[in-house]
Amino acid sequence: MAASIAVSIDIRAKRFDGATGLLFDGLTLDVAEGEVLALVGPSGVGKSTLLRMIAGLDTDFEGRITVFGQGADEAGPPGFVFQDPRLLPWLGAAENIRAVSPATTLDEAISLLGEMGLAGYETTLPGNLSGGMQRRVALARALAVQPQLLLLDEPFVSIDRKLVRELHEVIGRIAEQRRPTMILVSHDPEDAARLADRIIQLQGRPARIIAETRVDIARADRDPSRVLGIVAELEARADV
Amino acid sequence: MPLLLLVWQVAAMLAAHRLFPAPLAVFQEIWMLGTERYLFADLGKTLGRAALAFVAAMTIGVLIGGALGRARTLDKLFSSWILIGLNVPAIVVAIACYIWLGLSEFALILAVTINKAPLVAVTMREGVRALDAGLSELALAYRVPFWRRIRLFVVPQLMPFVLTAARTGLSLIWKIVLVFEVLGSDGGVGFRIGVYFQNFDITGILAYTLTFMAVVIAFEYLVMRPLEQRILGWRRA
Repeated sequence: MAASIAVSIDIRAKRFDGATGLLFDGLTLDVAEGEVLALVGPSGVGKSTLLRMIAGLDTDFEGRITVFGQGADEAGPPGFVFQDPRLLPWLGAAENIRAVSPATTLDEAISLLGEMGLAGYETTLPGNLSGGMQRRVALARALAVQPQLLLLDEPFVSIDRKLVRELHEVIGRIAEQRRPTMILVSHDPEDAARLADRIIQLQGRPARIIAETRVDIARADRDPSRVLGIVAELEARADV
Repeated sequence: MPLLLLVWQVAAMLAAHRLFPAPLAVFQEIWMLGTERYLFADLGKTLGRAALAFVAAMTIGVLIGGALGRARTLDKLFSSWILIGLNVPAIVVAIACYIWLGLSEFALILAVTINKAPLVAVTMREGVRALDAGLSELALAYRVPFWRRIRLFVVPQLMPFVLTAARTGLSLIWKIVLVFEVLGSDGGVGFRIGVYFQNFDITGILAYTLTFMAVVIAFEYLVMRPLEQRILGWRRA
């Protein structure tokens, strides 16, 4: 049986903010429930804007985006991990989680932090956490709303490779165990190759889908050589 | 502090004049005024006026500053008003209030409030402008309810500005309340200093001044600093 549609995107036109021209001029895309979809493409192509539109943060466009059958801005909150962790510096890690999710108890917040390898840091202020720890708190926060949809906007940008690998593992584990629908935005095809079930490549202005790649290798089996193979395939398509 | 007292004592001994009393004479005067005269009643009056003016100026300033920070059109319309408010001489406001409203308690407090509110408004306007757009977007993405957003996302960001406004405001209010009391009131530290000035009683003036300064310093150490530590402690993380 085919999986049901989690996110349906039908954008007829989306203009640039404060600039002339179109960012999207006809873009349709469906994301299946439980699927991990990666949007890759060069900076400025509109990937993050598309993610904001899916989150209901940007409604200034012609067309319609539905999330589990509801308008993007009417649907329940997605889990959203931004490029920067965006933690409230005056709250401890656990309270940061509860700030966006009042229904989450303190015990649940502590348990989520434990899942992210942050046991013992519940009351630590963000300023006293390393960059990697802050990103893991942001991930825990995204999971606290028990999202059916998890949106990840360049979560690996500006961090070292060791930390990227660590976060790949955490996100891979979330995908396997919790199975939310995930949309990952990245400019780096390697992130997509490691995590995604399907990779959409966006290019041009207005942005259009230039290629769609299904990755049929289980995440656990994506060793470096296989990942490099997928990346090479993606780069070849981007050069066309 | 002991060094300051020592310098004062030496200077008073060198001057040896009734217009330059030694610290001990001033402390004796404080004791006498406190036990036999009106020192504490006057202090209470002045502090009451300062407190009322402070609360009024902070409330009005925060509301106006918040509105100006949020709405560019309002800011364009009223920024020149704020500029005038910031620069009109305090004494002119006081005299105008006394002439129009009489030598009343209300006129005094209103004059202090009018002097202080523009400074609070400007500080709060900058605070609202400096609100982190990323955190606002985060709250919107997670559909955080309005009041929770205000309480957890907005107020903590504005607190440094509120405390700055409060601190600069207090230092201004302490001073102008006294000046306005000299101009026209029926009691208070400023009023009494005015009376002592007419009698050239420098010991009485210094006794009132020292007592008042002690209260201001105690307020800074017992209220403002602990409050700041409690509210802004996270900034040291």
